[in-house]
Amino acid sequence: MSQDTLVPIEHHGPSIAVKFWDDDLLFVGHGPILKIYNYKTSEIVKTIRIFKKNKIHGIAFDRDTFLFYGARSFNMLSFDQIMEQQNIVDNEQMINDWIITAEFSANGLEAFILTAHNVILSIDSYSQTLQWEKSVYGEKSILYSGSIRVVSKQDVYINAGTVMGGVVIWNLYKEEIVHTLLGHEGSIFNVQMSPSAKYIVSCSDDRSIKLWDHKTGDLLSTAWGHTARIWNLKFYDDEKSVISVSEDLTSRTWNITENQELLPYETYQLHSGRHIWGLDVSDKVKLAATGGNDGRIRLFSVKTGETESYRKTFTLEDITNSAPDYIIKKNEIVKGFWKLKFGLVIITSEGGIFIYKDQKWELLRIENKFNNFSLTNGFTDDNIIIFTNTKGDSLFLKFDEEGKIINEKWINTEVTKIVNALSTKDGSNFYLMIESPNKNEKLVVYEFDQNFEISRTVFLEKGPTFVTTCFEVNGDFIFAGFRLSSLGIYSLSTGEETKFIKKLSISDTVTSIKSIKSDDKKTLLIISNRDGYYVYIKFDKATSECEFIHSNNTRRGFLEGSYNINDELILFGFKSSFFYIYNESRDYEIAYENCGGAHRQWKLFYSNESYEFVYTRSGSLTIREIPKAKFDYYLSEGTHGREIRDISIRNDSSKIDDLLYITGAEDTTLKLSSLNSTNGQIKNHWTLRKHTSGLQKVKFLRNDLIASSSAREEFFIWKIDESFNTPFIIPYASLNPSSDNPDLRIMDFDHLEVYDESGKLQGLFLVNVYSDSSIKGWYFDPETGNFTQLINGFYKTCCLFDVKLNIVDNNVYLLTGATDGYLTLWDITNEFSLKVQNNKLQMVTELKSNKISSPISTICVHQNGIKSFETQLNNNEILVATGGDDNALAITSFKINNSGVEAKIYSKIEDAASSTITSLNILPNDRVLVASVDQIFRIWSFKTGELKLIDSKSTTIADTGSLDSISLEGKDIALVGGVGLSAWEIKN
Amino acid sequence: MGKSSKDKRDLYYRKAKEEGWRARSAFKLLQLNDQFQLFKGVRRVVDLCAAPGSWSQVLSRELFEKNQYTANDEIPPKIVAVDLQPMAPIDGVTTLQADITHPKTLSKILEIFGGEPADFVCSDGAPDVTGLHDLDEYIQAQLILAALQLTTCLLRPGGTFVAKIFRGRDIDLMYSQLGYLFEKVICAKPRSSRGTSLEAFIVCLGYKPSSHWKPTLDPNVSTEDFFKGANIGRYELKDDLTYEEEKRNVAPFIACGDLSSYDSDATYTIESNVDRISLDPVQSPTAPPYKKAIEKKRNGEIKR
Ligand SMILES: C[S@@+](CC[C@H](N)C(=O)[O-])C[C@H]1O[C@@H](n2cnc3c(N)ncnc32)[C@H](O)[C@@H]1O
Repeated sequence: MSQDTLVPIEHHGPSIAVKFWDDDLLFVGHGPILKIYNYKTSEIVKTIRIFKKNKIHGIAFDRDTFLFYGARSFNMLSFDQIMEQQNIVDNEQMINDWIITAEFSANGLEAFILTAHNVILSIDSYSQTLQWEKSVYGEKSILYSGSIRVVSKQDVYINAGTVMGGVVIWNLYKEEIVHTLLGHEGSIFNVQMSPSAKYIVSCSDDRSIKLWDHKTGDLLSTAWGHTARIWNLKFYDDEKSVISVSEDLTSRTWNITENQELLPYETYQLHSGRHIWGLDVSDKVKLAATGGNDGRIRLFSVKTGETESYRKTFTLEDITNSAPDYIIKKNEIVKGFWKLKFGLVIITSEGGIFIYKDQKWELLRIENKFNNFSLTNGFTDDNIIIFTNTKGDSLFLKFDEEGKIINEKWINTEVTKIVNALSTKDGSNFYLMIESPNKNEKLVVYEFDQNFEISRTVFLEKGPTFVTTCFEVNGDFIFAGFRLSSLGIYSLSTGEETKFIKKLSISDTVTSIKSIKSDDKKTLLIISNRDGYYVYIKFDKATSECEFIHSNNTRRGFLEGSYNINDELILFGFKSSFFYIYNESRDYEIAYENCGGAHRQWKLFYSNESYEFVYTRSGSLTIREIPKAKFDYYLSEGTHGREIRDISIRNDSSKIDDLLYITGAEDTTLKLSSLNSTNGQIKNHWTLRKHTSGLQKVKFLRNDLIASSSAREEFFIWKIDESFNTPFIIPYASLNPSSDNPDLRIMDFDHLEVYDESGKLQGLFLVNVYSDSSIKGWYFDPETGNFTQLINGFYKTCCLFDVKLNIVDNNVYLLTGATDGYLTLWDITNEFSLKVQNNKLQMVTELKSNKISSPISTICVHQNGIKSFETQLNNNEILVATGGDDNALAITSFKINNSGVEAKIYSKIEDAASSTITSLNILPNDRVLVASVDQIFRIWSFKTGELKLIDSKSTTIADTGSLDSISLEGKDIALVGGVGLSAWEIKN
Repeated sequence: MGKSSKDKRDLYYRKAKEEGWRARSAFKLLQLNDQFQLFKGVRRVVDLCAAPGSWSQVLSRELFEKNQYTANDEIPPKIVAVDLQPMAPIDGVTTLQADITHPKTLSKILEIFGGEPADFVCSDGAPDVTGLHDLDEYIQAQLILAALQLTTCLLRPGGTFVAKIFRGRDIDLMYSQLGYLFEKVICAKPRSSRGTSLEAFIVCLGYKPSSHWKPTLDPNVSTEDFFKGANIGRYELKDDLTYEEEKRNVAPFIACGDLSSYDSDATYTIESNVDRISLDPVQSPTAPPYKKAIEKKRNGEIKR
């Protein structure tokens, strides 16, 4: 092993420790790496490795001395050392037990370390040597959690969380138990004592948080809210509040009332996958930071009362008080509202129009025409509002910046009745659409300008599923959304329908249509549907063709609309009684409001980077501002918060710094992302929620096609569209499961290209292997998305893990690996209908399905499951690299000659890893990259036929399960996935 | 756990039900025995982390029924089963509800044996995983070490120790340390253990007690303190707290249960009429600590 072959570039994985320091820095442990962020600017100030292997589980500091700890390791460093010293890992020290927590003494001269056996070790801050040990006699049972509260030089308390539901509070210097707090069920996962030692707060497997009186040991309050285990707690706000983080991906804040009750306050939805581990609060700036299993670092304000300050609620009395003569009628309510630049304009069900400006209400006028019924539309940035009644009267009002009316106009639309009025804008043109419930009356669309001069009136034939729910105008086209999930496209000049699409989604209403980008030829539309589905459509202006280029399901209640902000998709809607705003591109929640649910008057406004959500609730009107965040919502983007089961990198060397790759995880989602192969930074484009069970495999089939498989026999083909800045991806085709056994897992698949007679690429031959030992192959036509079955076969009653297709000498070989440790080769050349010419598959006119007969060769390579394999062709020889559950790595050869096949194990290393080998990849120059659960990443050479280890490096990606690599000019890049993702360069 | 459709299709689950085992785990011990003849000449055993008790059932059948024990035998067979959870009684098995990582538990087990050695100690213990892989591995190692503590105090020289492991990052430390105390250390994976899980069993054959270290149980001694001076390659606390790599060793891997036995990863087609027969869960579920939290969520007391 000469020089390093495996060179880590970057690591994205769970963050367990976050800590604020000084005014603007946040210290974050990402595995063994420390990153220091300036959270005000989102910059990374420093990246440095603290431990050789262990993860940073916690950070303690006293002034500018830091103690990092994790597992049995710790490292005590000054700020200057961190910033300047090389090889900080050389300073790593260790104890003989798991470190639960650590804290400096009051004068900083020593640090206390609490072990998992409830023992305190004192470490001298100067010499960094062990001074003494303390514990309580007979209390050395195992701990899941604990904390140290240094109240003063003499008063130090150890708060220990045991496995059996008890919290033990002991006095360090007296080595005596102060309290044994009983009441929780299950293991205690966190316990903290407040800074002045007044309270203790704890949580356990029972998912409750308990508040205790330190003096008496009495249980003061039990609070509930988290829907999974709680991992971390902190006091803040002068012991008046507590913050928690949980497995359920939320952080919650809790207030301690005057009566010493612990009450839920806010719930923040912060991470994806599963688990939030890291938590810190800065009392000074009232900010909280969290670190998730997804590797994401979130920041949010926890100023008590801040949200309330952004929320104003008014009864009708509050509103009308400004006009002493105004008499509220029986059943009068707020009927409509619109936010304009200077403030909010509202209309009551009796036609009272009020404006809210500079914290004051003011009666504008009473318009009797809007008694009982009115519809409100408007244009925020243009200070225009329009009221419409059932009889066809519309009042157009334009205000100046101060809220004075500067123009007004009445328009009457001649229809029998009006049930619906909608507005939209295209460039400098404004549009109002009027709808009658009468089937025979057309939709009326007015085009007008700032001065309410009507330039066009267009009449549209209603769609068969009428009741229009939204519309958009772009250039010469009107796009209208209807109930029953349908879309109509009309010519703006003639009103003629040019296209009608029924059933964009399964059911429910189209809630918004937005044109995002447009040029001479095409328009990009985003359409949201109430059932949670959204779709991007590429609309061809010449042909009116609609190409669906992206679709996804939010799985988040009712989806009501979208914004495209800085090329990111922002969605909003309702989930149970909450309204939410979500950044779908980055996969995080921006804000939420407990408004009581979807059934109410409501409207979301966005301008100047802030939102305003206005809604009515039991007779009152609420304005909830969501101002632009002071800091970025996250410092690190992260990846899946669950085990990554497969990775595929697109082989496109033209984009070294923007390599597209896709990952599939245990959480059933796929993420399409880009990797900068120079610095290892990643950017997620989409989180795809189509699979309903844990992913097995995902692979690029072509530059624009991806296939993915999972349990429940799900197999999808995805298509990528790169005609816009963001790559879009859509489920394009799927295989129907064989209905009699929905439990089948599709374990692996492989493909070969199929050409026509002239040598043009036509389609793909795909083979799947299943958990019931069956093998099935199809011809896939990328034009139509159709599958035609070509082969079916069966191995024996065990689970097939892998499959590969190879063509040797115009013969097609199918190779499988199974749980029984056997590699099996089948010659399918004469058993399926495709022809082979020049070692390429060729299309035939008639495709038939055949049963494949027995294999031609089989060889036992491993003791049990072949977890991963790859093949390489050397003339007449198929070389197979295999990694097993039995820790072994092998190179097997299938030599094909006239007389038959000769199978032989060339080289086998029984203990190639100390645990299961889960993934491997063959690199140029007869090398193989191997990932295993022992968290060691290895590269072997098999040049001479013998396997020889070239290099091995430890990785902190736990449950290492997937890997892919590509060769770019001069270098090979690999991504290794598990709980997290790491990028490596492989040197020659 | 209830009856998920996965359970219903799991052939080992069905077979356990048919043969009267309390858990499908029974086959793991049976397949380990097929490979290593673990039960040969065994009279006194400790089954740690034993609930709901299928291993104890297997042991009871082996020691009392198969070996045709008669009341005249001088030393009657003895089986002691320990778990955090309560266990329904099994013929010839003494059960104890306790935490095996607690020093007092081990003393209690020693008492039951009244100074007589055991021939076989097994532990199928698994903690509730948190999702922090390194912590989970540490807790699992603590369960094994607790079992090993008892083993060193109770097992006769030449006796056998079997424990469940999860093959993670530091499992080679465990292999190496056990290597000091046994003739042979093997990592065995029965075919009834799913290939997709990291579960395996460490089979330690031929106990060879250390001549210069006497294991002693003391209520104020933690697992770490206990092995002090045992010279099994565990890192011991030093004043200068220097970082040190402990010895690692890869134990030979053996897949056991013959290839014709069922594959626990495969999906078997079960005739649809059989499928409809309701199968009760073999292991009756215990109330989880978060039962109340779930009720509150169901009643709408917890939102979002
Ligand atoms: C897989 S089950 C054992 C199944 C058993 N061998 C059988 O065949 O029925 C694991 C058991 O470990 C037990 N366990 C986990 N930690 C323990 C501890 N610290 N002390 C005692 N038992 C423990 C659990 O309560 C659980 O019943």
